[in-house]
Amino acid sequence: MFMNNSALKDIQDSVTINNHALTGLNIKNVHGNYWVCLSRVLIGTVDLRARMGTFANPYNAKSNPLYAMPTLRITNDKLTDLYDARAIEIFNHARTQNKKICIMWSGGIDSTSILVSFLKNLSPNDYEILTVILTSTSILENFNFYSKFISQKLKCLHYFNVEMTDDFLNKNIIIHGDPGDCLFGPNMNMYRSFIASGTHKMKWKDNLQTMKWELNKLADTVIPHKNFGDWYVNKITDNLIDSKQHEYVSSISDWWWWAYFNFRWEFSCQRPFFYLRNFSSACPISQHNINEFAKNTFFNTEKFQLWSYSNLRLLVDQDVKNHKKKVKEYIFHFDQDEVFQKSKDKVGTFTPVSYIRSRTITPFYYDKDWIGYTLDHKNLRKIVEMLMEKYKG
Amino acid sequence: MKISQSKYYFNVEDKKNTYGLLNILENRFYIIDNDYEILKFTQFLFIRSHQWYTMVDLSASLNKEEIGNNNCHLFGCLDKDIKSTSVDLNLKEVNSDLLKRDTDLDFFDYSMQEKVFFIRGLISYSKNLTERFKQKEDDDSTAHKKNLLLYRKFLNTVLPQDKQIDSFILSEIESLDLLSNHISDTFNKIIFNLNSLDLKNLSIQDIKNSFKDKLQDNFFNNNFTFNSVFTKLMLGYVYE
Repeated sequence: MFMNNSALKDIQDSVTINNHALTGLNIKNVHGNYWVCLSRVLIGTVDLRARMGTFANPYNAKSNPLYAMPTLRITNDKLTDLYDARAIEIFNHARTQNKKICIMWSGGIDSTSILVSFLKNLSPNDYEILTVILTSTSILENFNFYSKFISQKLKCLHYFNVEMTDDFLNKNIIIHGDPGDCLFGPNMNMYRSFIASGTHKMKWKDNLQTMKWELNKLADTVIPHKNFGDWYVNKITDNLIDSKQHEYVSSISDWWWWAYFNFRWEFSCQRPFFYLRNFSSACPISQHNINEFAKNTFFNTEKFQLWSYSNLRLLVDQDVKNHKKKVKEYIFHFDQDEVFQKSKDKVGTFTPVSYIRSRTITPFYYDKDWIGYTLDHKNLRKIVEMLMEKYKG
Repeated sequence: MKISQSKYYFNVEDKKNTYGLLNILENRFYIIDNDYEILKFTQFLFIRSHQWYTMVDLSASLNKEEIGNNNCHLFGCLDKDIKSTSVDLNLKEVNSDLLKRDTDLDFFDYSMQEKVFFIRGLISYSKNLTERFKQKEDDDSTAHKKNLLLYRKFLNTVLPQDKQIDSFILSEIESLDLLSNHISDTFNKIIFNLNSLDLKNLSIQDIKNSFKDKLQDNFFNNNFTFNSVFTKLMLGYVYE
């Protein structure tokens, strides 16, 4: 089939590609199938782009400089200082721009910590600038915080009432908790068996076969293709070596941190766009607002990223309970909620939002202006099938 | 060609109420059906294209058991019934015998009859499909709604001063109805789009092509997964 160069270039220049949309394609090429299966095996893998090092994706899609990884080095910054300074920086920017600050609050650890940073550093007289975007599930996830600090104190906007358009972004700065998992420690389900046996701090170099075996076992439950784990582990490892981080990023849990920090950062930062653009994806977003969104993404700073890199050993220590410990401490210092500090874990909730999501088609890709295209658009399905057939892994 | 050889042909069930579309100028039935609503929509769509049929209730006719879709073109109404029959929205009830002719006539418009069957089949298929999808969706969302209502009750109890919780939950309940309402609306759009076609003069193939274009291009303005599944099933039916 004649390759549609314009469509292909559009995909390569896209801001994000939705690999979930690939499910159901009929691909013969084994590497194409591995790629299709990525999002089914590794929960939450919508788009995967390496910010550092080589990493071939089927589309030859490049990483966006707005989400570039800084030159990695050790710093001595305290996390609390970073939170405080970042909240003040964004507040001052909002005032200069005459914009409101809309904080997407799920009730989870990351978004609560961000909301805390504003409540802590702003005078109550300035709370007027804040709007909390939430659903009823946010309240369920963190009732104490809602009842004590949000209910009847802060302006609220239901998630369903947010239209991610230029008009909204001209008036508001969107703040959200992603990519907290990339900073503070990823989903541990992928290597939970290592944590259970206390081996997650062992060198990944000495455990590659076991890591592959674990992932193959996981993949076997959802995909019919063998050796997915071998392919994925090799691909991330090759990138790690190519990025010259393989000596410092040394343990199994570090390896998984890298798989998030390098590859998922870009999509995670843009997650609110990805979901909220679904129903208004026909109208473009201006480059100014796209740049502003990246610039104001709370955690998308050099200092936060270097903190994560510098504190790699703290992220998941010997005990799973240490997961996001420093972030919880920051929250606790403000809200004094011992129950949240001791017991809050990452949970999956089925919300009205996820109910609607499960019934809607998210575009396969969003172009550079955040206009979405589903696989049914023109010859897109055939082009993507061809790319998958050609993919060499 | 006999209509019984058409792929759009179907049989009616004797024991159910039976209705027919009568071409009053020819005094011939073109189709009979047990489904009142589907046949009414069929009638309206053809009348809109100036192909006039009156709808007759055959349930009480004395020789009802003799008429089927295979031979309905041989049947008409007796003169006394024809005289009191008009082409309008109302249903004509026949309590006496139906007129029956013995032989086929060459001038009967079989292609028009097949088109009536095709349109009737399209309406029937899309109606059944949307009803099944809607039922499934309503079943799925019922439990969610019930729990949201209980959650609202709980939050109103523990946070009695917070007046915005009601509006939060209300918008979430409304969101659960979005797809169900959309599915209902989809059937309306099918009728809307068929209504825009010249059913009298277009061939079945032309109708199929126009219907396909409308279904694929401008039919839906949202991203429900249902749309893709529904479109595939409808096109599968149309081009089977």
